[in-house]
Parts: sequence; C-alpha cells; structure tokens
Amino acid sequence: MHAGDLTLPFPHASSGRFDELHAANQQRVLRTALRLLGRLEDAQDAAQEVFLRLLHHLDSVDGDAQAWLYRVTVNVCHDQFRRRTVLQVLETVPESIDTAPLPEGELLLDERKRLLTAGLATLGDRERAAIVLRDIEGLSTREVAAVLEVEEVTVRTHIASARLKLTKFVRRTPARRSL
Amino acid sequence: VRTEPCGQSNEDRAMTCADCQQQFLDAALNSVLNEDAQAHLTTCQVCRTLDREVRLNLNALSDLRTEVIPTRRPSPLRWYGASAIAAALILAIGLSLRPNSPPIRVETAALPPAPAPSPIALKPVAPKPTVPTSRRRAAHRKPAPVPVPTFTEPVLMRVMSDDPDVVIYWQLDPVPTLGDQAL
Repeated sequence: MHAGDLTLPFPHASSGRFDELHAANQQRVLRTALRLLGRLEDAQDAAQEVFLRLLHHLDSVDGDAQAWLYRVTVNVCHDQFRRRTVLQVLETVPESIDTAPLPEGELLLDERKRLLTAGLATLGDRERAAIVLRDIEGLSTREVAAVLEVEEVTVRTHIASARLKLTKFVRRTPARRSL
Repeated sequence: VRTEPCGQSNEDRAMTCADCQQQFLDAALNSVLNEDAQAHLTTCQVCRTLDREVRLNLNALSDLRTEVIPTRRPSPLRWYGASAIAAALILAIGLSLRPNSPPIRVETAALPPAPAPSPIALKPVAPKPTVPTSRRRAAHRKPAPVPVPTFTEPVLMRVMSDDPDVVIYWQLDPVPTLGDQAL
C-alpha cells in the first residue's frame, strides 16, 4: 500500500471545489431552509443534508451550482416539512440577531419582519418556496421557475397569492408595536 | 378585494382593482407600475393602501436576506462529553507514564516481645515499625530540636507509682552511632 491507496470516506472530500461552494453558499442555503422550515435546528439539518448531497453529486453539478443548491434545498425542506406531524410556529428571530434597542424606523421594520416570517408558515409549500426564493433571496421569476421546475406563469400566480396572504396575515395579526 | 372599477373622479377609467392589484402583487420591489395602474391608485384608496402594504412587506422580506443565520455549533452536552473523555484520557495517560514507584503497602508487624526488663541487658535496635500511610507524612515532619541528653549505655528507668504493686520500667536506648546503624 502506498499513499495513493488511501481514500477518504467521500471521494471528493479533498476537493477544493466543494469547499468553495460550501463557503459561498452556506448562508444562502441556511437562510432559505430557515424560511422554508421555520426552525433553526431543522434548517441546520436540512443544510447539512444539502451539502452532503452536493458532496456526493459534485461531479454532476456543473453550470449553475447555485440553482442546483436552491433546488435541492427546496426539495429537502419539502421532505422535512412533510415529515412533521404538527406544524409549529416559525421561529421569528434567529439567535444571532442583536436585540439591543433600535431606532424607531428599525423597530417598525423589525416587527414587520417578525410578522412576515411567522406568516410564511401559513402559506402552501409552493407559495412559500416561490416567495422565499423571489422576495427574500431575490431570484427572478425565471430563476424561481427553473428551481421549482414549473412555468413562469405559475410562479407569478404563487407570488401574487402569497403576497396577498401575507399582507392579510400582517393586517389581522396583533403586532407587538404599532405598524 | 374589490374587482369592479372604483372611484368617482375618473369615470372613463377601464382598469379594475383586480387588474391593478395583479400588477403590484406580481411586481418587483422597485418596479414602476404602468400609467393605467398609477391612475387607478390615485383614485382608489383600497388599492393604494394595499399597494403600500405590499411594498412595505417586500422591503421587509428583502431585508431578511441580510441576516446571518448561525451555523451549527456543538451543543453544551457535547462539550461536556468531550471534556469528560479528554479528562479520562489525560488521567489514563498520566497513570501509564507514572514512574515505577513501589506500591504503597501497609504492613503490620508484631513488635518483638518485650524482653524481660533487666538493667544489664542490652536491647538491640528494634526494627522500625511500619507506619500507616496517613501517619507517615506526620512522621516525616521535622520536630523542633530538643536538647537530648546523650548516653552510650542503655538506661533503665524505674517509675514508682502510688500503688506499690505497680512499677513502671522504661528502658532508654543509647543514641545510635554509625556503628550502631550497621546492626
């Protein structure tokens, strides 16, 4: 046996490409998973699963790796979401957010963000995925359609429906502070 | 949501609330609505309020993009487990590297029978009895120097008590010299 015979458990574990993709997309995947699942621990589990899949399919991921990661993240989160027996209230504020007093304008924005994050749980899977990808992640309608593998018109329908539902949710939910 | 044309000031307007809302519900955050939609918003309070709320929501949603999500960290229980394993390893390594010091043994030896007290008998140096470990440290303490009278011959002391039947004999060995230690 010589050094060349030594193999790591994953064939690409030493690949610099995986490290690059992981570093560049870790927050993106985590953020998307958190908005889709609502719980930080679930999001971390999902992100771990996503990057494991990336590790196994690194050779087949060519071209737009970001779209691939979004697609796998959405699929993994859908699988996790279906496994849940009870839909729990979404986590509103990640642990890393500073809770120090903010200026008045920031307080309003923060409260709206909290309500919107909670409102994501009231949407359907497809609507939630569409609005997370487009309005939070900033993808275009075409990119969202490619990730979700649906027509663009379907994405538009989901987006319009989700925005309207979220607006109604924010309206009828008593806020901690006046909006 | 109203679907009929609304407003009284612009009666020839053809855009319905549903058409207008379809535009801003599907629009990007900073996109500009077409003229018809803008004209509709100037006269329809319902759509204007909804448009404003949707834009505020879009602004808030896009702001979520800047949040940093904490990555997974080991839980405190994992740290405790790791600490316990590390401590056990250090202890095991320390014990394995310990120099071969003789094991601590506690022996009890019967003192030789006291010889019959005789003023002329020379008592050999009795073997030093083994002291239990707990007392050994105290035994090693250096006592304060006390002037001891020196003598070369064993001295037998007789202590009389009030009871004539009780007599205490106390034999004092001489201070050992180098020659005596060889014994």
